[in-house]
Parts: sequence; structure tokens; C-alpha cells
Amino acid sequence: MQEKLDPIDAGIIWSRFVSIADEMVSALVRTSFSTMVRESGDYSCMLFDAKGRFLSQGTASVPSFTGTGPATLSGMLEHIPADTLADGDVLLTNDPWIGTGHVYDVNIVKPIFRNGRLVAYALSVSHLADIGGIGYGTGARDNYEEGICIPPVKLFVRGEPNKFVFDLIEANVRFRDLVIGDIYSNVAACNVAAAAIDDLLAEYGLVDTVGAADAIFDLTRNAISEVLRTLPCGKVAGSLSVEGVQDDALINLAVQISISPERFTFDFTGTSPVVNRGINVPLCYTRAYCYFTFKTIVAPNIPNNQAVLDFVTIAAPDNCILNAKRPYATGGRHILGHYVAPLVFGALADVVPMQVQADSGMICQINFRGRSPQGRDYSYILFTSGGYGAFADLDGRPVLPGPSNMIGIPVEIWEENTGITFLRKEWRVDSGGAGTFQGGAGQVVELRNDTDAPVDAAFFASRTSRPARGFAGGIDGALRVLSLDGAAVAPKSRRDVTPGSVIVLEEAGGGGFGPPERRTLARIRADLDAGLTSLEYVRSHYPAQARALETEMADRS
Amino acid sequence: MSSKFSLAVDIGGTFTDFVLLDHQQRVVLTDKVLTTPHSPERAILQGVEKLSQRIALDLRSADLFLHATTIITNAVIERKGSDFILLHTAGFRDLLEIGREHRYNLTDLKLRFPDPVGRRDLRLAVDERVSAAGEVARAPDKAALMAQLIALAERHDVRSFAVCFLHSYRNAANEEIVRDWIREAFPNAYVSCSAAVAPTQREYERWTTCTINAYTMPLLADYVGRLRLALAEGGFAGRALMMTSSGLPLEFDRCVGYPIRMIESGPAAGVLAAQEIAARIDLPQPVAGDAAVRLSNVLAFDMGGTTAKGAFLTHGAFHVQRSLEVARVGTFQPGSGLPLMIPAIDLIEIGAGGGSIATIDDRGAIAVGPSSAGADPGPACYDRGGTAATLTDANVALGYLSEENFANSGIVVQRSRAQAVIQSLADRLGTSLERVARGIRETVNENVARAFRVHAGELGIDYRRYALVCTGGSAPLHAAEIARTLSIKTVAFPFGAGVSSAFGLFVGREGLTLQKTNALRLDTLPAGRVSAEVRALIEGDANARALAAAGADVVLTLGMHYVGQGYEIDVGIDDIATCDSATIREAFHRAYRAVFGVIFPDYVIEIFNWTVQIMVRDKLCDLSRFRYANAGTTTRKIKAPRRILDTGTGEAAELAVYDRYALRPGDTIEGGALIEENDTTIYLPRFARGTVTESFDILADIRSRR
Repeated sequence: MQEKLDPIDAGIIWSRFVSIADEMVSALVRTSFSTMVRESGDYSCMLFDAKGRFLSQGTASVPSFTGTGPATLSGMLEHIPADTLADGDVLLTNDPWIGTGHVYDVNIVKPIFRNGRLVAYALSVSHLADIGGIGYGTGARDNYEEGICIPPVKLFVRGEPNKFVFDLIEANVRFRDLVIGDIYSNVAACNVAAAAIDDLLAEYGLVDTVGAADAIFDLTRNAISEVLRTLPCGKVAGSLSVEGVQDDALINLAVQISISPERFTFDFTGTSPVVNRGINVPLCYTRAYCYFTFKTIVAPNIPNNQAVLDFVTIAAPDNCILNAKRPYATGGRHILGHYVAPLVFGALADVVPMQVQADSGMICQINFRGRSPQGRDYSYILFTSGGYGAFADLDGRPVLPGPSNMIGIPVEIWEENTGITFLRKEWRVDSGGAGTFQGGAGQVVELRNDTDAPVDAAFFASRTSRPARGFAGGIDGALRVLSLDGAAVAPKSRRDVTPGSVIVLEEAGGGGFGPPERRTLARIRADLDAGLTSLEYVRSHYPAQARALETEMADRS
Repeated sequence: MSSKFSLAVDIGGTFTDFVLLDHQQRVVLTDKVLTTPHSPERAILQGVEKLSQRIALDLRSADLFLHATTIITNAVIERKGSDFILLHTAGFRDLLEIGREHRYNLTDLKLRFPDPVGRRDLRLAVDERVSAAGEVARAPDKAALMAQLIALAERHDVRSFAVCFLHSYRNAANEEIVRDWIREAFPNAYVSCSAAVAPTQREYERWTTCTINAYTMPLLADYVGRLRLALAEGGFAGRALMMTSSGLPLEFDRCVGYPIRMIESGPAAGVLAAQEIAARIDLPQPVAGDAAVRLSNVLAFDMGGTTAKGAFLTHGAFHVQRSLEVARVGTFQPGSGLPLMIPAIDLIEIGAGGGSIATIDDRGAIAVGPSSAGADPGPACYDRGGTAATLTDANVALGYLSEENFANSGIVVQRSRAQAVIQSLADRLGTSLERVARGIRETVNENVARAFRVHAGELGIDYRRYALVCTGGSAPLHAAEIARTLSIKTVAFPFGAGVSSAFGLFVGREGLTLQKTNALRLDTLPAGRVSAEVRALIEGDANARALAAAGADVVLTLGMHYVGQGYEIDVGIDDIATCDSATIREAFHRAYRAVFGVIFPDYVIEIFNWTVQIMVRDKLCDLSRFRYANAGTTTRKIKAPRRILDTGTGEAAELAVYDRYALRPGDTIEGGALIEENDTTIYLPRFARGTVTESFDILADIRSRR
């Protein structure tokens, strides 16, 4: 193999790096003990070169973890320098400011050695069933209440488990089997990567991954620069007002974006300060969603790597809510963190109208803790999606997550594991925002506690007083409505659900795109036929088209 | 009457392939005609006609008609099935549209999703409920339900029904009672119940499977009827069987209730062909005890015009998976299709074939496929209007494929057209034509190797210990290089590889595969429970009952995990009658450690999914003493040598060119050679060395890179 890889070789090895990350994901999912990982996709797997530069991610990974990963590795190596690592070592941390923004995710890193030389790193991240403290929720006053925080530590030393670390975790968590089992599945994922990297280097006669990374990054930079040159330079700004812990405690999110052929700079000056509940967002998580939106706009089809991320710089005042410092509580950091995507899309709507998406209804999370009908104690998250925001040329799909990308758990698996019965799960008719292209409808979910004991439910909900915005004249989606036995539930709260009690979730609709007057009759007719909208909705949002349809129907009959 | 002929027919997208066994001469004949999509049975009759010009074929003296077809898959992709009424648990009307609430591509926000089959205005909510534990919490009310159902069926004149209730895989009582009411009201109705079609957990996947079954049942019944008639008119009075996705053929009449089992019938037959070929190859003298396992562990690799497929056979047996995806809208992206929960030979499918189109992608690197120039317009070198550079164009431009050899299969190609389209890509990349053509080959090789590698990882297989058996028109040109990338040491190039699926139909064992979700914890498993479960599963299926009564083999595979996990690993049970919790536990831990490198001795283990194969002991035909009609029929072994650029090094090299029909058992071919047959060309690079076996197959040793 030649010294410098040409673009054709680089392209081939690049694909291999992606497939190795996919192999990691497969091992992780297949060995995981928690439904969040195995059914709902709350994980990420990544590869790094010997210099710690991000090479590839698993095709199925959540956006946030992919963005936090590079800082996680460098943060861990600050504590445990690379030259102190040995073959067989495995590192662990769940420090929110090094990891993924809250203590509930475990980050596992394996340095990969070949012929005594450090050649690459593998990183696997997943959401654990528990980490001690008051449990997963937004109620904590500070980070110490949220659970045990483990700074970067060697979980394995030269292949031998570090008994103290395992004992420490076991002594501090509920659901020991789920937690220890899932830590091992992350280790299994990293081991898969180590074997595959060894094969790859042998096959191509490479000493490590650095040369290949350079060639891949060159290709990436060229491709992205080409796109950036087509964008107008300059500054745009946007802001967004969202619900805090209570519906009436509004939080302002602000961003200024400067665009140049060299980079996108995101500055969050003007954003509201931190609060004393667990919805604060560490900067690593904010940065992750900047990366994500940058990538969806500029390079949706280029596999993600360090060179993509290097085009992004970010600034945010200390202890604004998008740059919370220790020890502010961050348990529900995703609730506000997810808003970075619509905030950025809104700011860029005039610059790249074809690429931005109107606001989505977003995901509602409820963390349930209880005892299953088989007598197993559990802590599982139920993810339920609202409607997807519309685009300049495409309707938003009903019941699809954005910007995050969890997976809905099968009803049959959920009921079996929790004893909580789904009474209903259907489209929420008329909930999408009208527009030339209509926002996606949300869904209605009814859940009943069919166990004989109370279940603890921690709600992480948004869009309860601030709807998903329509873009370019499109109409907002319907608000999210939560209730327990008919009474309203605060969006970030924790409740006891007694046996027989019923929770109803009416999931938020996505925003529409473009003026409703321009929606075609064919689309309106198709929605009516499908039962996605009612005639009343059509009459009120598309009055001119409704008249045309009614004339047509009258003519036919 | 002693039979004289057996006929196998595989209907593919472009060609309908035929393999005929002449039992008296002990000769295998192969042939092809163009597929006739609107009435597939016409191509069958044309092929029979064509064969009878070569040999005195009379359908009256044929004992077996074996069949594989894409008719069901095409009906789903092209949406040509029939209307049906979906009866579903009340409260879950939109379950098929909602699916799993997931974007299958993270950063491409404008994703497309497949529509479910069936009309939304033909859905009927049923007030019923079975609990997660399998208790009937609410039984349906006959009077209320049937009044609505009959009105709906009469209004739309629909007589096809899908019954899909929650937790029916645990207890099918509600589905079954509704099925009986429908049959009572409409004695000729087609009814699919989700628990009968796919008795496994996960409602979206099970219901989708059931609706596709309902959607295609009238079509299959109609096709089988017409085919039977056409065969009968030709005088055929033998047995007729169709291949199922799980690799076990079933009699026509037993197939019509389960069209979804036919969805991968052609590819399944192709895997059986690779299995048979591997078994017939007489290995050279075993090297250091390695040879004994070499060809029982096989990676069956098929590559044609638009797709490549791979399947692993371990110790000669294929793996049966529990699900697959059809009708993907996102060009081969997992998650972009409709999931089917059916037993199917575990196949990985890749959008790579001779017609795959090469482009420069967003990265500025070469990408090949999954879009394909297909048969029309085809590669640019066909000069039938194709302007995109394809893999075939790269192979023609480099000289691997010759204009003369194409002429043998009746296709005119122009090398200058291939060179022109590749040159235009080279101009855009600022490099040479040769570099781009090599890059296209290398990219396809890597795409295929990478898919196999990921798939092996999912199965926990060390692919380096497998031999590659390659079939299909495009595979032999790439197999040696792909093998080397995978550190595979042996590649078999079978004779007659172009019609392998049809060939594979003969070696199926008649039978069927039953699957079921049934969670049982090992720590409380009573002795004898496993064999009782298997007996009950067989008793519950009329076809299985009949086969078992006739003495068929029963093979059990348990899908197991630790309690709390959601994915299972397969554990084969050697002795169903005597297995107990201790032996099963040991087998599970052995398998788990092999895949994941770790076990949890103090965690509770659960049996979750059950796969029972019931199959007749013998293959449909014993091919061991047959020979190919055209093997060894020419005499000039060596054609004019050809200069090409070697894919690995980029250096010009002179390749010897052989005529396959002149090669005889025992001949050896040193690497740096091409071996031409009518519809395919084998490339043996310099790191390979081939030997012709007694069966006229070529077995190549691949020297590893390290």
C-alpha cells in the first residue's frame, strides 16, 4: 500500500470505518438489558484515530451522543493520559461535563493496540436504567442529588476488571443486573471494534489509523467547503421562547450564527440563565445539536467525522441555560437541548429555505419505576413522539421524532415488562399545523397502571405552552396535553400513578411550511380520506379549498 | 411408470431459468428464456418447448415440477395485491402507519417511508383484548362485530380479511373465534390471522406480515390455479412443489394459505444450490486436517445484474432467521422497508451487480450502486441508450470481459462505449480511466465484503474459516478478490453457476418451518417441557402434523437470552427428547460466549423464540450421479492471451484466457488468468490457483495477504 492514500482508497477505508461502528452497534443492541437501548435506540458507537480524532459513528446513533463523543474522549484522556494506557484497558465515566450532559449515560472507551502501538479508540455510550440518587427526572436541585458521578477511571486494567469500580457502582445503583449487564454490553461493542481494526490494518498494511484519517478528513473538508462556498456569507439571528419547569416560567433561547466559507459560528448570547431544577444543559450537549443541524443542512449524506465538526465553533455565556456549569442539575438536559435544532433552523430559514424544517412536536419521555407482573423491579423510559415538522417541499410525517431519534417500543414488549397497559395509541387527528406542506400529526396515547402497586412516573415534556412553530407562513402545530385521571400534569414533574389510574398523552403536532392557501386540493383530499384531518379542520384552515371540495362533492352526488 | 424427467423452474426479474434432469441419461440440462411478467406461466411453457427441442422432453413422463418465483415480492413492491378488510384491536387503528417512530437515516431529514398495504377505509376496530400474560381480558361480541363487518364487506365487495389483535402470539383465541365467524358468513373468504401467519411478539411487525399475507393470498391462489391448469394441459401428472423462504419446499396446495412464505423463494433455492455444490466438490488432499471443515463452512455468494446476496452455511447447514424486510424505499437502507416476521434463510442483500451505476458521491469519492441500469437500458457498453458507467463497463474497459465472449450469450457490446463513460468520470476526478475502472471494481469488492463482515458479526461467525461458493453471472469475476479481503482461503467456481437457483430446487427437503414466541425461564423449566412444547407446535399445524406422521425429521432451534434482553441468540438442541434445563443452559452459555466473549453465570436465562423445522429425510432428488450435458465438450483449452490492469497493483499484466468447456478434471490453472463460459467469466488473480474437480467445478486456493 502506498504511503499517501489516494481518494479512491480513502473512500474504501472510510466505508470500512463506518461498518466497524455498525458492528459495534449490533453487539451493543443485542446484548443490552434495558429497553431504552435495545428497543428505543438510546446509544451511540464511535471510532477515533490514534490521535483521538473522530473517524466514524454507527449509522443508527442518536444525534446528541455523536456530537458529545469527541469531547468525551479528549476529556477522559485529560484525566488518564494516552501514554498511561495499556492493551486491555477500558475506561469509564458518566461525568455530565465530560460525557453526554447527564449522569444517566455511561461512556466506555477502549484504546486499541496493535503490535504494542496505540492505533485507535472505540467509544460506546448508552443510557443506563439507574445511577442512584433521586432517580431519572428533572426534580434535582443540583447535580449531586442526581446520582453517583464517576470521573474517568479504568474499568479494566490490562484486561482485568477493576473490582473496586464494579463494587462502587453495584453499591450505588438500583437494578444492579440491568446496570452491570449494560456496562458489559458497551464493553462488548468496543471489543468488536478492536478485532475489526486489527483486521483492517493488517489487510491494508497500515501501522495505525492516522494516515487514513488524514486522507478521509481531506476528502471531507473539500466536500464541505464546496457546499459552504455556495452559501451567502453573513450573520443571522434567531430566538425562541420555551417552557421552563412550569408552563408559565418561560425561558428564552437566542442564537447568532455567522456563516463564512471557513466555518459556522454559533453564539448563544442572550439566552436565559440556569435554573435550580434538572433542565440545565452543559455546553457539550448544546454543541452536539449545533453539529447535528450543521450537518443536516450542509452535508446530510457524508458520514460524520472530525473534519465535519471542525467547521463548527460555538460560544455561550457561562451559566446561561445552554452552558450550565457544575454543579447545576442536568437530568433533563435534552428537553431544552433539543430546542437548539429548531432555534438554528429558524435562524437559517431565509438562508437555506429548502434545507430547514419547521418545528417538530418532539418526543415526550416518561421514566416509569415500578414492579413488573413477574415481580422484577424496573426503571424504563417510554418515548412517545409528536408530529414531524414540514419542509418547503414535503409534509411532516405523523408521529416521527425530531430532532432526536428514539424508537417507539412495541406495545407488547412494554406491557409485558411493566404491567402498564396501552389502552390506545392512534394518530391525533387535526393536530398538525396547516400549511402549503402540513405539519405531521401527533398521537394520542392512553396508559393504565394494571399492576397492584403505585408506579413512579417522571415526566419530561415540552411544547405544553409553546407550540411547534410553522415556517414561511405555515401554521403552528397543536400543543402537547398531559393528564392523569383527567387532571392536568405539569410537563416536568414526578407523580405516583396508583393502580387503575390512567395517563393520557396528546402528543404535539409539527409546524406547517408555507401559506395554507397554497396547499393543493389533492393533498387535502388525501388527508381527509386517510382520517388524518377532519372536515372542520379543513374548513377552518383551508377555507377556499374546502369550498372547492364541497362543490365537487355536491356535483358528484 | 418409471419416471424419466424432473423439471425445476426459477422465475426471476429478467430471466426464467430451467434445469432439467434426465433420469435415464443421468444428465443435467440448463436453459433460460425471458420472463413474461404478466402471465409468468407463459415463460414456463416457452422454456419447456425450448428444452424439448434439445431432448425428447414430454411432460407426461415428468415426475416432479419444482418452482421458485418472485411473484409475491413483486406484488408487494408494485402494489398489485388485492383489497382486504383489516380487523384490529380497538384503539390501534393507525398502528401500521405509526410503525416504530424512527428515522432510519440520522441526518437526511427528508426521509420517505413505505406505505402499509391495504386501504385505510377497510379497517374495522374490534372491541377485544388479550393481556400480555395471554389471558382473554375481553372477548369480542359476535352480533355487534359481524353486523359491521358484513356491511363493510358487502359495500366494497371484499372477501379477503386480515385479523390482527394484540398479544395474539400468546393466546390466539380471539383471533380464531373471529376467523370462524368470518368463515361462517363468507365460506369462500381468504382469512389471515396474525398469530397463525407470524406467531411472534412485536405487534407492528406481526400485523404488517399478516396484512401482506392477506394482500397477496388471492393472487397466489389464482397463479397456482393457472399454473396447475397449464401443466395439466401439457400432460403433467407428477407432484408440484414450491420453494419457501426457509429453504424447505412445500406442495402447491399447502402454500396458498401462506404467500409470505414464498417471498424469498428464489434466493433460498440459490443457497441450497451452494450447499449442494459445496458437498459435491471432491477436495484435493486434505491439508493439515483443515480440509474436512473447509467446504462444510460455506459463504454462498451470488451476484447478478442488480444485487449481490450472501448466506453463511455452518457445518453444511444454513441459518434460518426470523424476519426480513421487503419493498425498501430507501435503497437498501435497513428500516426503510416493510418488516416480515417469517422464517427465512438468513441472507444479506447488497445493491451491487453488473448493472450497478458508478458515481462520484458527496464525499468526492467513487460510489457504486445501489441504483442499477438493469437490463434496460443496461450498461453503456450494451449501446442500448445507457449513459451511466456501470460495473460491467469497468470490467469491459479493463478487459476482464471481452466483446467476443458476450457474443456467445447473444449480447453485442462495444468496449469503446464503456471506455467513454468511464473516461468522463476520470476527467471529473482528475485521474486516469484505468484508475477509475479499478476503483469501481475495488469499491464493489469492498461493499460486498463489508456487508458480509457486518452480517457475520451479527451471526457471531468467523468468516475467515468459510469457503466462498460463487454463483450468478457477475460473482466469478470478483469472488477471488473479495475472498482475499475477507481472509478466506478457498473459492469454488461451480459449473453451471448461471442457473443455480433452479438447480437448488432439486436438493430441497420437503417440509416446513414453524416459529413461535413462548417465553420460558430455564430456572423453573420442568423436565420434558421442551419436547411437549414441540409436540404441541406440530399438532397445531395440519401440514406439520402430516409430515411428522410420515416420519419427517424434527429440528429444534431455541432463541434464548438473559431475562431483560430483547434479542436472542440461536441455540441448536441436539436431542429434543432428553434435553433439560442443565443441558440447555450449558449450550446457551457456550453460544453466548462464542458471540460476545462474556457470560453472566448468575443471571436468569430465558427461552424466548422457538423454531421447529419438520423435513422429510431425503432431498427431492439425488444428484450425485448426474453430469452436466455441456461439461468437457470442447477441446481447445487456451484462447488468445489478454492484457489487463491488475486490480490490486494497477500494473499491466498479461492474462491467460481459458475455455471452460474444454477444461477436464485435474487441470490446474495458475493465477493471472481468465476462464470464460457462455454467461460468465472467472477471474483468477495472481494470488489464486485453480484446480478442476471431478465434478468440473473449479476450486481455487487464495494466498492470504499476511
